[in-house]
Amino acid sequence: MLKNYVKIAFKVFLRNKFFTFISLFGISFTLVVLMVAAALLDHLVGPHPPETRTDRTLYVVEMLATNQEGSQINSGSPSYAFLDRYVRGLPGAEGVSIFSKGGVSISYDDVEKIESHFMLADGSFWNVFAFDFLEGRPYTEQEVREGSFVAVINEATRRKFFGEESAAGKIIEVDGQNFRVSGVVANVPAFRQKTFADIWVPVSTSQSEEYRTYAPSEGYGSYTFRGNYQAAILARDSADLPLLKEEFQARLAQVEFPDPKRYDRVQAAAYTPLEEISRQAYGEGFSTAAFTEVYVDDLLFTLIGSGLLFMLLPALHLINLNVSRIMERASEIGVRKTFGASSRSLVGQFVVENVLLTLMGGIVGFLLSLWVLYALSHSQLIQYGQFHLNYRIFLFGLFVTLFFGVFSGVYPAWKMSRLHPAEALRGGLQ
Amino acid sequence: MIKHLLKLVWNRKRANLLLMGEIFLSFLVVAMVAAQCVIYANNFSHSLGFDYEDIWYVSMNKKHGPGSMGFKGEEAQTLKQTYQILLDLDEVEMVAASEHVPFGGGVSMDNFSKDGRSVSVSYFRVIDEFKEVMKLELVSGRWFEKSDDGLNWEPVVINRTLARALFGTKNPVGEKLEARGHNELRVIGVIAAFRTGVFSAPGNFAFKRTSWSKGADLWHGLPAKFLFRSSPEGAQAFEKRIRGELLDASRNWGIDIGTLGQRRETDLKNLLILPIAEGIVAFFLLIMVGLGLSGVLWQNITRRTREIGLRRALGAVAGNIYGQFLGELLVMTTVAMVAGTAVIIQFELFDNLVGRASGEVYFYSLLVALAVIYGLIVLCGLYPSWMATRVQPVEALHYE
Repeated sequence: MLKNYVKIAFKVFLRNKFFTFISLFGISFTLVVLMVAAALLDHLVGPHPPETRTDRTLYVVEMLATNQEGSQINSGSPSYAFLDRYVRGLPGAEGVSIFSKGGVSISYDDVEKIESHFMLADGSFWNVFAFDFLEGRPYTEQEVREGSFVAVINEATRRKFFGEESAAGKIIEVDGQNFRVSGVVANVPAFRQKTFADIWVPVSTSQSEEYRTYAPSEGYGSYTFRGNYQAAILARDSADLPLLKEEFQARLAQVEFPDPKRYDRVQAAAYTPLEEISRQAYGEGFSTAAFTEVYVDDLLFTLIGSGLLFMLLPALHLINLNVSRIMERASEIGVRKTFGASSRSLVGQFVVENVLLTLMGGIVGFLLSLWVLYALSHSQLIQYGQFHLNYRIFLFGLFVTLFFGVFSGVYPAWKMSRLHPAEALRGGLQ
Repeated sequence: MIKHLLKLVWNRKRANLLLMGEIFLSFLVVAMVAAQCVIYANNFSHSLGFDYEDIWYVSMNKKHGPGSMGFKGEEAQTLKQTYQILLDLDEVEMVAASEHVPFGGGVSMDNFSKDGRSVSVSYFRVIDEFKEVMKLELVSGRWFEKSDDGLNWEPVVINRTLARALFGTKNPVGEKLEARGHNELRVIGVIAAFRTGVFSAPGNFAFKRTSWSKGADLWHGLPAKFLFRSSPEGAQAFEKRIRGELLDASRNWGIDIGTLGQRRETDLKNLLILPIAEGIVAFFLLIMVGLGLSGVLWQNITRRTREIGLRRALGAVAGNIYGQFLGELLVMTTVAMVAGTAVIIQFELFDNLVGRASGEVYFYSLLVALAVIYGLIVLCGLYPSWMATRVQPVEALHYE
């Protein structure tokens, strides 16, 4: 039975090639847009190296220090000292890493300027995140404690400094300081916001120890809280996340205020990657009342909502096309009805036909998405961005295709199946 | 005539409703993209308020401390030295310092109120030289000067947009302003315009003052971005020389050096990526809709051969048939677009989905969308309607 449907379907597709083309164009184009969007999103929040354990990672990236009067408001990234004191050693965590937000550093290769993104990171950074080492090894906790001038660089930086040669053990000059390269890692794309950099060096390579000290020194009052750092907390199991969050809040309640007139309250929270993104999208940095609010629901609502809205136009387009092309076959329907075909079997046949068509469009769309993602990766619009299709995106694409096939096929098929046989034989409703 | 066309459309209301739905959605898509373009073009056409040609910037960012805060103590020393080093360069006559760099470098935000009216204001904290280096145009009052160090209130210079928002037509010079957690603020001058990005809206903007002698005592500290005018030969060598001079500072500071021209290019590129991607998607959506519509119309006309034949037999000329089919199509398009316009205005879709839009933006965006959709529809309808005119009456009446 199904085999017959397939045979008929292909005959019909070939009979009216223009219509088949329009349908295929619509479905494959829609699929390309949705799949590319899904791929971008997946690469932004999904588990990709070096952030492979996104399901059990929490980030502390922002804090707000205020006083009761509300005359002082200081929000932004926390300092190393603050994170070291209140996040490190959180009970129940498998590991905690504290690292700076990226900055730009400059080196000179004779006259040629080399601009690199650098990051200051502690030793546990290399355990909390899963970097792919091409050669050498990460720097150790020991080296960080000693303030050794060692660096981990990425593949692109190795090429800029050393060409095709190996880099481990060699010296690079960054911002006027010399570092010994301890290891080389694969490039980290720029959309991996937390880990993206070209050069990673120990936090202790800073000239002054100020970043470490929590007690306020003369004139540095605000720096005890605020700085340029963030922390990642790796849980043993994703079920532990709520516990870790509570643990962190409990610690925050014990924060000491060196100058209570200036600040007497800090707000911060540990966020999952998705919560983090939702805050970036919807959070209002200046709102003190709801500073630690997360907006995951809003984010999902907007994403799914805009996806559905976008699909509405192609869906209507396909329904319109199907209504037209199905009426063309009125006489065929008439004949089948006269010979006793039930409405249900007719609807079944046309939905199968339509799903077959959308699947064909799906294949075209799939290939086109591969091409667009390839082009996007090569354009380096996003530095070191490599977009691949994985099973999550593939399943999403398949789901969208089937959804279109069924959705755009049912209404026209139902309408057609209700034709009176006599009328259908005469050529459909006028 | 129109009444008749409406009737024809009404007779096939179910199929036509689907078609109109498609046109309605296409209209929304085009209008959204148009609104984005109109907002950008509108902002772009406003004056930046400064002249970015030949301006170099040196931006200092703490590797450990917070990036955008003012600086004190040891850091303030480094900044003062940096200022002096830049000033001592042969190619440089005057150096300005500011909290932020224009073109994608961020702004500080505050709320100013006057007589209970409160507005949100973006501001830069700058030193006295800023006006001359950036070539700002003062329209009334005065700019900051050295003697302001002794004031026990805080002077601010505002742009005309802000002056209008707070004071209407009144002269703002000398007026007091309230802002939370500040000393008393007083407006001392008004500049013609200032906005910080290629496409940023000409919004409320103010300048607050800092100085090397006073800044380090104040809670906001000193600014860490330097700007100066210079057109050296060999930009790369010049940059390398500056870096060499600032080597000491570079241990604890990330130093970004370049021209505002470069920053502007980058800003432009970053801001255009999204609209261009949206534009491409919208373009293909339109092609898809266009192809689909011509297919459907063609199909409709084949099915209405008998009706056409009858009309031809009763003396309608090709033009009449043309008119009928295009007319029907245009009636449907108009209905769909009226609905679309109503939805856009009723739900303030541009404000909610694209960005703050004025009445002007609504007007021009809708006009563009209207033109594009009418153009598309006529284009799609031409061939099928022409097909209809080719129908031979005799053949059509025979048609079974």
